[in-house]
Amino acid sequence: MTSLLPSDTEFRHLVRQFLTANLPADTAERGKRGFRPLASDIRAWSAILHAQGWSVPNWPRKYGGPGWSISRQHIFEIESLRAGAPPPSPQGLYLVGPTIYTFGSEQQKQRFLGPIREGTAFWAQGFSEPDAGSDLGSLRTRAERDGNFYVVNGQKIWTSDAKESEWLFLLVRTRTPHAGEGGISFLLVDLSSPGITIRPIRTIDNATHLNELFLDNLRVPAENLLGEEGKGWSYAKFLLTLERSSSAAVPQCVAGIERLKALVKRASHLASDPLLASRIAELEIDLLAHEISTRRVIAAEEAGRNSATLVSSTLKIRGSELLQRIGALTVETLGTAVLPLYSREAIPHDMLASRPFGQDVPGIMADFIYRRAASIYGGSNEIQRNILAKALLRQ
Amino acid sequence: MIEQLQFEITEEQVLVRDMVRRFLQADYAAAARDGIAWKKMGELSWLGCAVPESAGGFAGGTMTLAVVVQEFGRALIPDPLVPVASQSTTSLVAIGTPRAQGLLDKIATGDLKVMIAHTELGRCDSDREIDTVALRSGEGWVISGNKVAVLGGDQADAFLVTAQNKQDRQPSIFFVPRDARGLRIDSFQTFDDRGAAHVTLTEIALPVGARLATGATAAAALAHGLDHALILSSAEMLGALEVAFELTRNYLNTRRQFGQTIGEFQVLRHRLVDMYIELEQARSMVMLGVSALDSGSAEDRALAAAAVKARVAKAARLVAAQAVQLHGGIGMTEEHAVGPIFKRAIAFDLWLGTGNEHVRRYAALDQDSPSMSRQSATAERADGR
Repeated sequence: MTSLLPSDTEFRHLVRQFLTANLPADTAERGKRGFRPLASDIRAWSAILHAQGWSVPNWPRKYGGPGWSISRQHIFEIESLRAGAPPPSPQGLYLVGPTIYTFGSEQQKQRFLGPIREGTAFWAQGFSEPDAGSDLGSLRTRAERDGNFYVVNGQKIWTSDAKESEWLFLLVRTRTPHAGEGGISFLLVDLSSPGITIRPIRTIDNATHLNELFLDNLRVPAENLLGEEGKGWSYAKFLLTLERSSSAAVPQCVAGIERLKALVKRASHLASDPLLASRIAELEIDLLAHEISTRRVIAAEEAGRNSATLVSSTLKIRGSELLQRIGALTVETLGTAVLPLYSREAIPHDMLASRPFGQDVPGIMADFIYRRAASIYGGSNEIQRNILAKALLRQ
Repeated sequence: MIEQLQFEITEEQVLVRDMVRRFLQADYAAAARDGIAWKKMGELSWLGCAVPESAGGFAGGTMTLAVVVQEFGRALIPDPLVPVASQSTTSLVAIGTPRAQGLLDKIATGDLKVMIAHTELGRCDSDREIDTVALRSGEGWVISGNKVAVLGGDQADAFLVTAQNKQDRQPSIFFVPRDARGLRIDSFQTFDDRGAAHVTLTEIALPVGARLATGATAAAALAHGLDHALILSSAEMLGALEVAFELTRNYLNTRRQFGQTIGEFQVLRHRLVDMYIELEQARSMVMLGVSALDSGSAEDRALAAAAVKARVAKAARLVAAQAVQLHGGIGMTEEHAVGPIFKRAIAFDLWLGTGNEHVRRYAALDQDSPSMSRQSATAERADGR
């Protein structure tokens, strides 16, 4: 994006070469036009990355990671997005994978990490409930011990990609009627088990990737308990911190600004507009500050000064706001060209294909609409501000 | 200067509002299913409201139409009421010929749905430059060009197409029926669930009478229709924003987390208040806009329309986005009304020029604008005056 920052040219070049040689052209086209990737594209691409040893960039070497510094991980992500590569299924790679290698038993590591690394197992998240959203600690889904099993009953909501996933990580209450955060446990659940009903939810980006889950006498082997019974809340907090850090969304913001600038350059009436140039520059400067803030955190983490909880909330707030602002300016810039309804499979009108914005348009609107959720998911920005205020005021 | 500012709707308009609300709640769905909703709107005399007293309409018609479209906005009705009953109607009134009057009669009864097809890709709606070309040919005209994103264009019976005369480079407005040879209509559904179309004209041959207006008359008619539609679409948006606000207020009073209603959290209370303030700014601007349409000059209308669009778009972005935010996940679903209202707010911003484009238009129109005086000074020097 900007020429101000050190760019690690050699590594960047290596990544670009790999992407050029290995990313399937049709997958790349979909990605560049802002279309949501197909599950089959993600699986195929994960397998290619795995063969290269690059499928779990954020994991330690010990668990198959490539041993990249965090800034190299960023470069890899930015270059991948720029090339149109499908982002990985995030729940396994960024959330439950690290939680399992941090808190799981040897047997669980053996069993679960490999399939995530190879792109053969997708994971879904079973945290929120209809009455436990921001107040996650009040969740009510129950698990009762029955011999070597937990029997689970309850309801979960906002579960992304449940239909495409093989596994589910689930927060349940194992000690009732204890209220609050004690008595919560963390289970790893095979989604093909009997007793799970998945109901898709249609969202305003014309998609059904979110789901409601109904759990009716679902039997989970006791060996699939993560860590200790009743300590699930601390694992969940660890996982939520990871989720917030990945919500800094620097690579997505960088790719978003680049796309906006490329679109503007292609249309002469926009390229010659000084006001638009100034608004893009303002966004780019805000993003620069955010990127440097993110790098500072990374540097502190790499030096072992861990302030993750506090800082991850800051990054999540600013990252989600920037994603939304970049999306809004892109949509505004494209004007009525983005009016057509998003269609995942097809581009609705070839008529505009030869015009300045060509076929890039429908995915951009769907992506923008979906990003309204960025300030809601992973703990709403209001909750993040509460976390920050509490820490700053030392309450 | 606007002669008279209106701050209230009349008792009669309150009755209209209640009638529209009842119709939309009780009868609209069935009528739409049977394909007779539009005709019904004609029978209920909503489609002819914008015809002023001086042209055979009735007094207070603009505010009455604003009340009607506001209710349509509340219910997120997809029908193209503003494109037909505000924009096309106003342009035809401004043209004022017997031919135009004949079309107005059919629009009012719901027998003719006609949309203005003006905007071309890479141009904004208030652009006076037109790439579509009209060529005088024997006893008629031949027109070629492309028009994009005509709201309601999918269901248009005819279009009022703008084109530039090849010979004298003057703008003109042509009446082009849907079945004209060489007219291609690429219909599509918009992301906020309305119908629209791109329109391609390939050497369409039209009779000489198809040219409804040209030169200054055409430019003025087009500008009048645009300004009217900017203000009336803002009234439509206002209706949707009212609902977004009301739903959010109810949600804050009923949703419980952390052992209390979420409306007890100060940060959310203040957000709701910010939404309310924006909603009321939008309401004031719609009142201003209607007043400008009723008793302002063409310059007043243009300045007011730019201000109304700019300000209401800003309010819409805040109110709709925060309605989704305060609802959390449920606000992102199609099952709940606030998500579709958010999409409508974005679509509203994009139609007829974005709010920010109208901020610029306002600056360009404003006689006192510092940059404008510089420009006119330069222009005067260039003219040698």
